[in-house]
Amino acid sequence: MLNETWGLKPVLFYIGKYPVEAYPVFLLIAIATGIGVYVWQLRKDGIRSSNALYIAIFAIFGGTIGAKLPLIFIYWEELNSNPDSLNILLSGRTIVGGLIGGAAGTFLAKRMFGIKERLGNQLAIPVAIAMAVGRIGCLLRGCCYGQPTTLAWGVDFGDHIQRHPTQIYEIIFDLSLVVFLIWKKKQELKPGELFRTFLNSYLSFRFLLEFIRVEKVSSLGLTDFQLLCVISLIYINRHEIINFILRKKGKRYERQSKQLQ
Amino acid sequence: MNDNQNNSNNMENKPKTIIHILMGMGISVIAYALTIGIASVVNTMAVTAIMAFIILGVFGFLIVRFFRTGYTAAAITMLIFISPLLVFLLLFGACAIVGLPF
Repeated sequence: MLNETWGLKPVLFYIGKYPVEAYPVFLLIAIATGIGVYVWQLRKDGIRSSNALYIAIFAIFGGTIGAKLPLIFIYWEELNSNPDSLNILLSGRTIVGGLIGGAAGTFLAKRMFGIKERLGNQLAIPVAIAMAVGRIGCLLRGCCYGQPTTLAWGVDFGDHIQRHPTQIYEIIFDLSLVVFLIWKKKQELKPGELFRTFLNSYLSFRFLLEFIRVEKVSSLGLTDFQLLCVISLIYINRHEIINFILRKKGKRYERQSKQLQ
Repeated sequence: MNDNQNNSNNMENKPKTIIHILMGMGISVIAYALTIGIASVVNTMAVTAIMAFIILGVFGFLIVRFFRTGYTAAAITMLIFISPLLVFLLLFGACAIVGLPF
Protein backbone atom coordinates (compact mmCIF):
# COMPACT_ATOMS: atom_id res chain seq x y z
CA MET A 1 0.00 0.00 0.00
CA LEU A 2 1.37 3.40 -1.01
CA ASN A 3 2.10 5.84 1.82
CA GLU A 4 1.23 9.20 0.31
CA THR A 5 2.78 11.20 3.16
CA TRP A 6 6.25 9.83 2.37
CA GLY A 7 8.37 11.24 -0.47
CA LEU A 8 8.31 14.54 -2.33
CA LYS A 9 5.43 13.64 -4.65
CA PRO A 10 4.68 9.91 -4.61
CA VAL A 11 1.50 10.32 -6.68
CA LEU A 12 1.75 12.41 -9.83
CA PHE A 13 -1.99 12.63 -10.51
CA TYR A 14 -5.22 10.65 -10.30
CA ILE A 15 -7.17 9.04 -13.09
CA GLY A 16 -10.58 8.85 -11.48
CA LYS A 17 -9.93 7.11 -8.16
CA TYR A 18 -6.69 5.50 -9.29
CA PRO A 19 -3.37 7.13 -8.36
CA VAL A 20 -0.63 7.34 -10.98
CA GLU A 21 2.53 6.79 -8.96
CA ALA A 22 5.70 8.75 -9.73
CA TYR A 23 8.13 5.86 -9.29
CA PRO A 24 6.82 3.45 -11.99
CA VAL A 25 6.17 6.37 -14.37
CA PHE A 26 9.76 7.60 -14.13
CA LEU A 27 11.15 4.06 -14.27
CA LEU A 28 9.16 3.45 -17.44
CA ILE A 29 10.45 6.74 -18.90
CA ALA A 30 13.98 5.68 -17.85
CA ILE A 31 13.72 2.30 -19.61
CA ALA A 32 12.21 3.87 -22.74
CA THR A 33 14.91 6.59 -22.78
CA GLY A 34 17.66 3.99 -22.30
CA ILE A 35 16.38 1.82 -25.17
CA GLY A 36 15.89 4.90 -27.39
CA VAL A 37 19.41 6.22 -26.77
CA TYR A 38 20.86 2.70 -27.29
CA VAL A 39 19.15 2.41 -30.70
CA TRP A 40 20.33 5.93 -31.58
CA GLN A 41 23.92 5.05 -30.56
CA LEU A 42 23.83 1.89 -32.69
CA ARG A 43 22.58 3.83 -35.73
CA LYS A 44 25.11 6.61 -35.18
CA ASP A 45 27.96 4.09 -35.04
CA GLY A 46 26.61 2.21 -38.09
CA ILE A 47 25.97 -1.05 -36.21
CA ARG A 48 23.18 -3.03 -37.85
CA SER A 49 23.99 -6.47 -36.45
CA SER A 50 21.14 -8.51 -34.95
CA ASN A 51 23.55 -9.41 -32.15
CA ALA A 52 22.76 -5.97 -30.67
CA LEU A 53 19.17 -7.17 -30.10
CA TYR A 54 20.29 -10.43 -28.50
CA ILE A 55 22.67 -8.59 -26.19
CA ALA A 56 19.87 -6.13 -25.23
CA ILE A 57 17.46 -9.03 -24.46
CA PHE A 58 20.03 -10.78 -22.27
CA ALA A 59 20.93 -7.48 -20.57
CA ILE A 60 17.26 -6.77 -19.74
CA PHE A 61 16.61 -10.31 -18.45
CA GLY A 62 19.90 -10.38 -16.53
CA GLY A 63 19.30 -6.88 -15.19
CA THR A 64 15.80 -7.75 -13.96
CA ILE A 65 17.00 -10.89 -12.18
CA GLY A 66 20.13 -9.16 -10.86
CA ALA A 67 18.11 -6.24 -9.49
CA LYS A 68 16.03 -8.58 -7.34
CA LEU A 69 18.42 -11.41 -6.43
CA PRO A 70 20.69 -9.56 -3.92
CA LEU A 71 17.62 -8.39 -1.95
CA ILE A 72 16.36 -11.97 -1.66
CA PHE A 73 19.63 -13.02 -0.03
CA ILE A 74 19.89 -9.88 2.11
CA TYR A 75 16.30 -10.20 3.42
CA TRP A 76 16.11 -14.03 3.34
CA GLU A 77 14.66 -14.38 6.86
CA GLU A 78 12.19 -11.50 6.48
CA LEU A 79 10.94 -12.82 3.13
CA ASN A 80 10.30 -16.29 4.49
CA SER A 81 8.60 -15.13 7.68
CA ASN A 82 6.46 -12.23 6.43
CA PRO A 83 2.87 -13.14 5.45
CA ASP A 84 2.83 -10.36 2.84
CA SER A 85 6.02 -11.63 1.24
CA LEU A 86 4.81 -11.49 -2.39
CA ASN A 87 4.26 -7.75 -2.04
CA ILE A 88 7.66 -7.43 -0.39
CA LEU A 89 9.34 -9.49 -3.10
CA LEU A 90 7.84 -7.52 -5.96
CA SER A 91 8.61 -4.15 -4.42
CA GLY A 92 12.38 -4.22 -3.82
CA ARG A 93 15.17 -3.79 -6.37
CA THR A 94 18.74 -2.50 -6.54
CA ILE A 95 20.53 -0.79 -9.40
CA VAL A 96 23.92 -2.26 -8.37
CA GLY A 97 22.50 -5.78 -8.74
CA GLY A 98 20.78 -4.73 -11.96
CA LEU A 99 24.06 -3.53 -13.46
CA ILE A 100 25.94 -6.65 -12.40
CA GLY A 101 23.07 -8.88 -13.63
CA GLY A 102 22.92 -7.04 -16.95
CA ALA A 103 26.68 -7.34 -17.43
CA ALA A 104 26.58 -11.03 -16.46
CA GLY A 105 23.67 -11.56 -18.87
CA THR A 106 25.56 -10.09 -21.83
CA PHE A 107 28.67 -12.07 -20.85
CA LEU A 108 26.62 -15.30 -20.83
CA ALA A 109 24.93 -14.42 -24.14
CA LYS A 110 28.31 -13.93 -25.78
CA ARG A 111 29.66 -17.20 -24.41
CA MET A 112 26.57 -19.28 -25.26
CA PHE A 113 25.99 -17.89 -28.74
CA GLY A 114 29.59 -17.23 -29.71
CA ILE A 115 29.03 -13.49 -30.18
CA LYS A 116 32.34 -11.71 -30.71
CA GLU A 117 31.05 -8.14 -30.98
CA ARG A 118 31.58 -5.80 -28.03
CA LEU A 119 28.86 -3.19 -27.67
CA GLY A 120 29.91 -1.70 -24.32
CA ASN A 121 30.79 1.59 -26.03
CA GLN A 122 27.19 1.86 -27.25
CA LEU A 123 25.60 0.68 -23.96
CA ALA A 124 27.34 2.89 -21.39
CA ILE A 125 25.72 6.26 -22.20
CA PRO A 126 22.11 4.91 -22.43
CA VAL A 127 22.45 3.11 -19.07
CA ALA A 128 23.83 6.24 -17.36
CA ILE A 129 21.02 8.42 -18.77
CA ALA A 130 18.37 5.85 -17.76
CA MET A 131 19.77 5.73 -14.23
CA ALA A 132 19.59 9.53 -13.90
CA VAL A 133 15.94 9.53 -15.03
CA GLY A 134 15.09 6.58 -12.77
CA ARG A 135 16.48 8.40 -9.72
CA ILE A 136 13.92 11.20 -10.24
CA GLY A 137 11.32 8.49 -9.49
CA CYS A 138 13.23 7.54 -6.32
CA LEU A 139 13.34 11.19 -5.23
CA LEU A 140 9.60 11.70 -5.73
CA ARG A 141 8.71 8.33 -4.16
CA GLY A 142 11.10 8.86 -1.23
CA CYS A 143 13.20 5.70 -1.46
CA CYS A 144 17.04 5.46 -1.51
CA TYR A 145 17.30 8.43 0.87
CA GLY A 146 20.26 9.47 2.99
CA GLN A 147 21.08 9.86 6.66
CA PRO A 148 20.01 12.93 8.69
CA THR A 149 22.00 16.08 7.99
CA THR A 150 22.17 19.70 9.14
CA LEU A 151 23.28 20.90 5.70
CA ALA A 152 21.16 23.61 4.05
CA TRP A 153 20.07 21.34 1.19
CA GLY A 154 18.75 18.57 3.45
CA VAL A 155 15.33 17.27 2.37
CA ASP A 156 12.40 16.22 4.58
CA PHE A 157 10.87 13.09 3.05
CA GLY A 158 7.95 13.00 5.49
CA ASP A 159 9.38 12.21 8.95
CA HIS A 160 10.30 15.87 9.74
CA ILE A 161 14.00 15.00 9.61
CA GLN A 162 16.30 16.77 7.15
CA ARG A 163 18.13 14.08 5.21
CA HIS A 164 20.86 13.89 2.56
CA PRO A 165 19.06 13.90 -0.81
CA THR A 166 21.23 11.03 -2.05
CA GLN A 167 18.96 10.66 -5.08
CA ILE A 168 19.89 14.20 -6.20
CA TYR A 169 23.59 13.50 -5.56
CA GLU A 170 23.29 10.46 -7.80
CA ILE A 171 21.39 12.33 -10.54
CA ILE A 172 24.15 14.97 -10.60
CA PHE A 173 26.82 12.25 -10.70
CA ASP A 174 25.03 10.30 -13.46
CA LEU A 175 24.61 13.39 -15.64
CA SER A 176 28.26 14.38 -15.12
CA LEU A 177 29.21 10.84 -16.04
CA VAL A 178 27.13 11.09 -19.24
CA VAL A 179 29.01 14.27 -20.23
CA PHE A 180 32.35 12.58 -19.47
CA LEU A 181 31.40 9.42 -21.41
CA ILE A 182 30.28 11.48 -24.44
CA TRP A 183 33.65 13.27 -24.37
CA LYS A 184 35.54 9.98 -23.92
CA LYS A 185 33.62 8.35 -26.79
CA LYS A 186 35.08 10.96 -29.15
CA GLN A 187 38.60 9.78 -28.23
CA GLU A 188 40.12 6.56 -29.52
CA LEU A 189 38.59 3.68 -27.59
CA LYS A 190 39.02 -0.07 -27.36
CA PRO A 191 35.77 -2.02 -27.89
CA GLY A 192 33.82 -2.20 -24.61
CA GLU A 193 36.13 0.25 -22.83
CA LEU A 194 33.38 2.82 -22.23
CA PHE A 195 31.16 0.42 -20.28
CA ARG A 196 34.12 -0.57 -18.15
CA THR A 197 34.83 3.08 -17.38
CA PHE A 198 31.15 3.57 -16.56
CA LEU A 199 31.05 0.56 -14.20
CA ASN A 200 34.29 1.59 -12.47
CA SER A 201 33.02 5.15 -11.98
CA TYR A 202 29.52 4.27 -10.81
CA LEU A 203 30.51 1.42 -8.47
CA SER A 204 33.22 3.59 -6.85
CA PHE A 205 30.74 6.46 -6.43
CA ARG A 206 28.08 4.12 -5.03
CA PHE A 207 30.59 2.65 -2.57
CA LEU A 208 31.19 6.14 -1.16
CA LEU A 209 27.52 7.17 -1.31
CA GLU A 210 26.52 4.17 0.82
CA PHE A 211 28.27 5.80 3.82
CA ILE A 212 25.58 8.51 3.90
CA ARG A 213 22.65 6.31 2.84
CA VAL A 214 20.29 4.49 5.19
CA GLU A 215 21.21 0.84 4.63
CA LYS A 216 21.65 -2.25 6.76
CA VAL A 217 25.33 -2.73 7.74
CA SER A 218 26.26 -6.38 7.27
CA SER A 219 29.96 -7.20 7.79
CA LEU A 220 33.31 -5.37 8.06
CA GLY A 221 31.31 -2.22 8.82
CA LEU A 222 30.12 -2.15 5.22
CA THR A 223 26.65 -2.53 3.73
CA ASP A 224 25.85 -5.46 1.44
CA PHE A 225 25.83 -3.11 -1.54
CA GLN A 226 29.30 -1.83 -0.64
CA LEU A 227 30.56 -5.41 -0.49
CA LEU A 228 28.95 -6.05 -3.89
CA CYS A 229 30.66 -2.92 -5.27
CA VAL A 230 34.07 -4.02 -3.94
CA ILE A 231 33.74 -7.58 -5.35
CA SER A 232 32.58 -6.22 -8.71
CA LEU A 233 35.39 -3.65 -8.88
CA ILE A 234 37.99 -6.34 -8.12
CA TYR A 235 36.51 -8.59 -10.83
CA ILE A 236 36.32 -5.82 -13.45
CA ASN A 237 39.94 -4.76 -12.81
CA ARG A 238 41.34 -8.26 -12.16
CA HIS A 239 43.87 -8.09 -15.02
CA GLU A 240 45.25 -4.73 -13.85
CA ILE A 241 45.47 -5.98 -10.25
CA ILE A 242 47.30 -9.18 -11.31
CA ASN A 243 49.66 -7.17 -13.56
CA PHE A 244 50.36 -4.73 -10.72
CA ILE A 245 51.18 -7.57 -8.29
CA LEU A 246 53.37 -9.34 -10.85
CA ARG A 247 55.23 -6.11 -11.68
CA LYS A 248 55.90 -5.50 -7.98
CA LYS A 249 57.12 -9.06 -7.56
CA GLY A 250 59.31 -8.71 -10.67
CA LYS A 251 60.89 -5.50 -9.32
CA ARG A 252 61.59 -7.15 -5.97
CA TYR A 253 63.17 -10.13 -7.76
CA GLU A 254 65.34 -7.77 -9.86
CA ARG A 255 66.48 -5.93 -6.70
CA GLN A 256 67.32 -9.20 -4.94
CA SER A 257 69.30 -10.54 -7.89
CA LYS A 258 71.26 -7.23 -8.13
CA GLN A 259 72.11 -7.44 -4.41
CA LEU A 260 73.36 -11.01 -4.90
CA GLN A 261 75.59 -9.92 -7.80
CA MET B 1 5.97 -18.20 -63.19
CA ASN B 2 7.74 -16.27 -60.41
CA ASP B 3 4.41 -15.08 -58.99
CA ASN B 4 3.20 -18.66 -58.80
CA GLN B 5 6.37 -19.71 -56.98
CA ASN B 6 6.02 -16.83 -54.50
CA ASN B 7 2.40 -17.72 -53.83
CA SER B 8 3.21 -21.37 -53.15
CA ASN B 9 6.11 -20.30 -50.85
CA ASN B 10 3.75 -17.98 -48.93
CA MET B 11 1.20 -20.79 -48.57
CA GLU B 12 3.93 -23.06 -47.15
CA ASN B 13 5.29 -20.38 -44.81
CA LYS B 14 1.91 -19.44 -43.29
CA PRO B 15 1.22 -22.77 -41.51
CA LYS B 16 4.85 -22.76 -40.28
CA THR B 17 4.42 -19.31 -38.76
CA ILE B 18 1.21 -20.42 -37.01
CA ILE B 19 3.00 -23.51 -35.65
CA HIS B 20 5.84 -21.29 -34.41
CA ILE B 21 3.38 -18.93 -32.71
CA LEU B 22 1.65 -21.90 -31.06
CA MET B 23 5.03 -23.23 -29.97
CA GLY B 24 5.90 -19.87 -28.38
CA MET B 25 2.53 -19.74 -26.64
CA GLY B 26 2.90 -23.32 -25.42
CA ILE B 27 6.35 -22.72 -23.94
CA SER B 28 5.12 -19.51 -22.27
CA VAL B 29 2.12 -21.31 -20.73
CA ILE B 30 4.39 -24.15 -19.50
CA ALA B 31 6.78 -21.59 -17.94
CA TYR B 32 3.95 -19.73 -16.17
CA ALA B 33 2.34 -23.02 -15.02
CA LEU B 34 5.70 -24.26 -13.74
CA THR B 35 6.21 -21.06 -11.74
CA ILE B 36 2.71 -21.20 -10.25
CA GLY B 37 3.21 -24.92 -9.49
CA ILE B 38 6.49 -24.27 -7.71
CA ALA B 39 4.90 -21.41 -5.74
CA SER B 40 2.11 -23.68 -4.53
CA VAL B 41 4.45 -26.56 -3.58
CA VAL B 42 7.32 -24.58 -2.02
CA ASN B 43 6.18 -22.54 0.96
CA THR B 44 9.16 -20.27 1.31
CA MET B 45 8.92 -17.14 -0.83
CA ALA B 46 12.70 -16.68 -1.23
CA VAL B 47 13.16 -20.19 -2.70
CA THR B 48 10.12 -19.71 -4.98
CA ALA B 49 11.61 -16.43 -6.21
CA ILE B 50 14.95 -18.07 -7.02
CA MET B 51 13.17 -20.86 -8.94
CA ALA B 52 11.10 -18.26 -10.82
CA PHE B 53 14.25 -16.36 -11.76
CA ILE B 54 15.87 -19.55 -13.06
CA ILE B 55 12.79 -20.14 -15.26
CA LEU B 56 12.97 -16.49 -16.38
CA GLY B 57 16.65 -16.94 -17.31
CA VAL B 58 15.91 -20.09 -19.32
CA PHE B 59 13.04 -18.23 -20.98
CA GLY B 60 15.41 -15.42 -22.03
CA PHE B 61 17.89 -17.97 -23.36
CA LEU B 62 15.15 -19.68 -25.41
CA ILE B 63 13.96 -16.38 -26.89
CA VAL B 64 17.45 -15.55 -28.21
CA ARG B 65 17.95 -19.17 -29.34
CA PHE B 66 14.70 -19.03 -31.34
CA PHE B 67 15.64 -15.69 -32.87
CA ARG B 68 18.97 -17.09 -34.00
CA THR B 69 17.59 -20.37 -35.37
CA GLY B 70 14.89 -18.71 -37.48
CA TYR B 71 11.89 -19.34 -35.20
CA THR B 72 11.26 -15.60 -35.12
CA ALA B 73 7.47 -15.86 -34.65
CA ALA B 74 7.95 -18.14 -31.62
CA ALA B 75 10.53 -15.76 -30.13
CA ILE B 76 8.30 -12.70 -30.62
CA THR B 77 5.30 -14.56 -29.11
CA MET B 78 7.37 -15.49 -26.06
CA LEU B 79 8.57 -11.89 -25.71
CA ILE B 80 4.96 -10.65 -25.81
CA PHE B 81 3.96 -13.21 -23.16
CA ILE B 82 6.84 -12.43 -20.80
CA SER B 83 6.79 -8.61 -21.17
CA PRO B 84 3.96 -8.01 -18.61
CA LEU B 85 5.87 -10.02 -15.99
CA LEU B 86 9.13 -8.17 -16.72
CA VAL B 87 7.36 -4.79 -16.58
CA PHE B 88 5.68 -5.78 -13.31
CA LEU B 89 8.97 -6.93 -11.78
CA LEU B 90 10.71 -3.73 -12.87
CA LEU B 91 8.04 -1.15 -12.07
CA PHE B 92 6.06 -2.33 -9.06
CA GLY B 93 6.64 -0.56 -5.70
CA ALA B 94 9.93 1.22 -5.12
CA CYS B 95 13.66 0.51 -4.73
CA ALA B 96 13.30 -0.14 -1.01
CA ILE B 97 11.41 -3.22 0.11
CA VAL B 98 7.94 -2.16 1.28
CA GLY B 99 7.20 -3.14 4.88
CA LEU B 100 10.83 -3.48 5.95
CA PRO B 101 12.79 -0.82 7.85
CA PHE B 102 15.34 -0.20 5.05
